[in-house]
Amino acid sequence: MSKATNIQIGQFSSISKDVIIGDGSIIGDHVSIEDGVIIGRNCYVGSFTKIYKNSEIGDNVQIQDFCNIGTDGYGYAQDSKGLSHYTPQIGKVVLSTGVRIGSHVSIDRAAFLKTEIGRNTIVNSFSHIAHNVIIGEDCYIDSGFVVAGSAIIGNKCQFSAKASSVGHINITNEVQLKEMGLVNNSIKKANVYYGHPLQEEISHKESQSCIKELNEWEKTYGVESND
Amino acid sequence: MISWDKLLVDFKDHILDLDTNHQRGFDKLSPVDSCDGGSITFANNLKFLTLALNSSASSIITNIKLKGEFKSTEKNIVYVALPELMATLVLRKYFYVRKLDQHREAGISKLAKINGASISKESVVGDFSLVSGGSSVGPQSFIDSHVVIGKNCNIGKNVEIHSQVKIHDNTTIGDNCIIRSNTVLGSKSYSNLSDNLSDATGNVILEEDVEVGSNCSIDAPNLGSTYLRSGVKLDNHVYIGPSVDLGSNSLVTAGGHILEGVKTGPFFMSGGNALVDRNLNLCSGLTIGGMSYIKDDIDSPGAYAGNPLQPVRDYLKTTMSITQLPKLRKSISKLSK
Repeated sequence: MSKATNIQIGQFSSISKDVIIGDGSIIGDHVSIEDGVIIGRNCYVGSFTKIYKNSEIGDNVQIQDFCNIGTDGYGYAQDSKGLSHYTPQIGKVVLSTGVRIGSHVSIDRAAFLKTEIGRNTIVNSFSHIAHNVIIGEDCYIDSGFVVAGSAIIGNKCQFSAKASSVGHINITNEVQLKEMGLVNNSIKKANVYYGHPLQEEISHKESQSCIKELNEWEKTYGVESND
Repeated sequence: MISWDKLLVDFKDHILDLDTNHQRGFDKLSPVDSCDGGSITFANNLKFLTLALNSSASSIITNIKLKGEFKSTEKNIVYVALPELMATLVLRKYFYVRKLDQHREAGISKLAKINGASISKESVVGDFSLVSGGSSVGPQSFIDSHVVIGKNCNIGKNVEIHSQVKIHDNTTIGDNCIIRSNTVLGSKSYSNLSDNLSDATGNVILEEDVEVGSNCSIDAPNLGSTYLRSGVKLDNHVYIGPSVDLGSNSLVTAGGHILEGVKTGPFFMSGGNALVDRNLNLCSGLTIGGMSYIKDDIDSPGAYAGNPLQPVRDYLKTTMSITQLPKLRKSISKLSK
């Protein structure tokens, strides 16, 4: 491998052994990078970001400030008394080429294999990506998205702010999830989904209009008072 | 390579029964869908057990007894009550190296600043970390790079504090705790912040075996303490308000917010993005679904979800009813004519 050039490393940053950083990459101040991390070419890592061991970051990836890439997944095994025992997470995080990560984002490393974010996907600030999650290519995920472990998300999905998803489900390609949408089950049909319970656009708007009318229903059709 | 005999000796208290077909050991623990000849895997249901039996794994940990024609003639089978727990223990014993053991030789970095604090000789402090006066760090503890520890903090033994963590003055951290990166312990909450920060003498107390995820914030009150009792585990992006008393062995998953003055019993569990309002008392053995909002005391254990909060069975019916409201509107309209 040829020697990398034009790398900029900020003040007070700590870079551990066996780390590879590609040409033209910029590492901010107070960054901590653990053993065996691979960072591609022309990447940017913002200040106070922590990159845990063996994470793989492709070319042209941007990671903003205060991110945690490859932190321990929230994996515990319960014993017969209900006490939780930490399950070591021995997998890694893979960020593909062109991925952009906003500030204060946490991406957990996998229990065994990899947590992966596909090419050119954008994850906005304050999002949490749990262990074993696979996110496809060209997705746009807005701020405050929380996804539980082992969810698989297809390509070209768009999730608005504060959307959430349970774990162990599949979301197909080109799904749009609007603000505060909560995914409880797998989504097999590409469409625009809203709210909680999750519904398609027309159904959601009808339900919402009914909820707004509940007060009128009570007045019109009457609920007898106990007084 | 871990020998079969070693596994049997090390875990004899967990093993209920065995089917031994060979004496080969294993060099990794793998999930059922990615095994090779050197793998030991685990299965806690029939689907996973079928996958495991058809995989290349040499050994399987399970709780499902194989009988008659289903008995494997090629693989070693270990029968235990809780396969996931056994797999966790196998992983920790043979295939996991703690951060302290990875960096033990490093000791206290020359780039760290120790301002009159007491650091055990068996502990590690990483680059650019600061430990302020009056604080103590117990033996076998690992403080990663860029950690800031305030004055008069007590850090127990075998504690892991990851990078970019800020621990404010007077915080107590019990034995065997883990604090993950970019977390803040003991910051003063805006809900009760006086004009003069020096008036605030409250602190945060973590009992033993507490784990805190990354990007969490645990606030200290002006007076008194915020408690995380023994065995509490917090996921990432969790907020714990001042004067909260989170019961032992509680689990709070990602994005959970527990506001000031809340007291929970042991084994409180909340799903992602749940919110617990101020000054509530919650009983032990309570499970709360994701994105739920708790605004009243709860004194009956069980599983609840939603906003408004309901028992889970009712919540599922309610959410289903919401989707049926347009049909209901038509029906009511017809009836009223």
